[in-house]
Amino acid sequence: MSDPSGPAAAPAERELERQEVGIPGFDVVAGGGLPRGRTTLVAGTSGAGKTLFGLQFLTAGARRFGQTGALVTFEERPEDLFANVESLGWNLRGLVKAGRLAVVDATPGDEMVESGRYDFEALAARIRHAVEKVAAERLFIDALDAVFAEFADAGHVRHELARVVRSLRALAVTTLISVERTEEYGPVARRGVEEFVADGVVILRNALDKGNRRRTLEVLKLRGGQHRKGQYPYVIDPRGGVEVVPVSVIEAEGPASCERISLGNEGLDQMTAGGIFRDSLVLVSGATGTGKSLMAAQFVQAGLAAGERAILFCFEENPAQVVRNAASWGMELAAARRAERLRILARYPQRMGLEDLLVQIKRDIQDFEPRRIAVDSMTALEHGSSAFAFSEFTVGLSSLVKSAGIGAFLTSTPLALVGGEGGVSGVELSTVVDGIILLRYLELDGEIRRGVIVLKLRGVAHDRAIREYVIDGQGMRVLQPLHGVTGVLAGDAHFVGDGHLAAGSGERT
Amino acid sequence: MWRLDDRARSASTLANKPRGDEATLALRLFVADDSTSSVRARQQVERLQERFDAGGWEVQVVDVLERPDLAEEERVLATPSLVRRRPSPPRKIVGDLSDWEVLTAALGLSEARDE
Repeated sequence: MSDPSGPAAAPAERELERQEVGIPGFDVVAGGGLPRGRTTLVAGTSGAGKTLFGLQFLTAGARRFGQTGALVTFEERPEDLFANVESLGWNLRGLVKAGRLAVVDATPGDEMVESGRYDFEALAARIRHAVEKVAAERLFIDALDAVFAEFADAGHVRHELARVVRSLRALAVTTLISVERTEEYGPVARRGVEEFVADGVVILRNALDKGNRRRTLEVLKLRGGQHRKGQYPYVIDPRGGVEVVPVSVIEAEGPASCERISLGNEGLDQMTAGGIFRDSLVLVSGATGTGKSLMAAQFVQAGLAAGERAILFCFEENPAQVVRNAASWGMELAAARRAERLRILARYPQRMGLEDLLVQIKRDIQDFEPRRIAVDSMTALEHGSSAFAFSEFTVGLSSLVKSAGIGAFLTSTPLALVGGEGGVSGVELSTVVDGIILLRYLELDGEIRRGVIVLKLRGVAHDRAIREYVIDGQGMRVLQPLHGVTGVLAGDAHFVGDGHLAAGSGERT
Repeated sequence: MWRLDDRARSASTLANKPRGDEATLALRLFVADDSTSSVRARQQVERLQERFDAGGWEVQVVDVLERPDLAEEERVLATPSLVRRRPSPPRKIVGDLSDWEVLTAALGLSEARDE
């Protein structure tokens, strides 16, 4: 799990003022932002998103803070950079025209020959000129290390670049410099560049994890203040740019809700002594065929009946199948879909990492503003991702729904068909959720019966009994408690004493 | 007769027709104040003019500290930088120009033309 913020390991340094950057989630990890007026390095392998990060730094400065900026580019021509971010809705060309962004085109120009000693005073002068022209408060220098390719003496280039970087200090502009690295877990940057950018280092990693690209951001150091340690997942959202997840979705939680909402089933509502809390996460765990999807549909329908909007996220079936299945249980969802009160969103986690999925879910919720959601199933997400990524996703999802005051119903499938370890998938999931309902097959008297139990429900004096339930054309019906049965959770249901229950006997009184 | 000053193109320069077998050369030397390498580069350009220029050259010296906009225009990173603007294609020689052979070769000047 990501580190909680704590005292920095370094001895206390004089606190430097921080410049809030405006990249979602980053400022939290960075302990407030970048050191104001100082230089921070952002290093990453090719494709990690360093250039995007820097351009977002400039764009956010203009949009959110009304600050002007300067851009120095060594590798890509300015026109190419502008074009690359157009699809994000960032109009850098417009900023230039409006005099809010100055650009230094430091890309290689004419054919060049070396003859004797040189320095980079011209570069320094051009940067100063650009900064002064628009009174820039933010400066982004992209691909500084590209200049090494143009000159023969790397040692001399490093020495002279260091002088330029030091001279920028006099400008007192919050500066971000991007450089390339060749290894995800090797030296900070190529050519030892990190040695002369002393005030801060941010590393963007783009490693392969189980066949998926997993992007993480690490604040290695930021002078003059605290910052969070460790690696944080980030995504490159095609609509928003870089977003550090799940930090970006974790917001201060308000007071917990005392309002109860129906699970959509009379029997279950009674077992939970009135339904679940408005902003809680409830997990139902059961083998295939036990009725998890049915419960998810019930939950959603309860919301619709109460006049609320709902989203059902499906990761295993397509929307048409979901509607058809619900109809077979006596629930009609098609009309609500047409009336845009219900959205059934099929997402394909195999195609995107869990961080991207979380951001997508955040957008889906922001766009539709449901009051409750269902996720069928969490197990589909667990497959094909690392335990760490799944845990992060779960935490992020929990924070997302709680901060929005949304009730969430999640389904998951344990490994065994009958009984099983009695647990749910993953330690983290069971600790994150507020309630757990188990659906289990029970083999009794040569028959397969079904049992439901509310294993946990925070803040509620819930039913402790294992009740039998059946599923038919009217949906799920919860019946009498299964007395005289033991060992359900241990996977070995059997009667004790000489008690005996006929199949389906007794309606709930 | 040579001159090494900031000067805009003037009628008198154009009026001095170049020697028949000498290419017209337009040079811009970017320097940074009077750093050691800047002074050296200026000296080398003066030497070039002594040796090769019969009045057909156009030489400008630009101090990047005073005219960073011109440095931006020519995309000059290092100082000194000697930019050969004419004849095409444009060429850049970076450094104090201390290597005479490299300098003359890069500018397409042959010692054989030396008087």
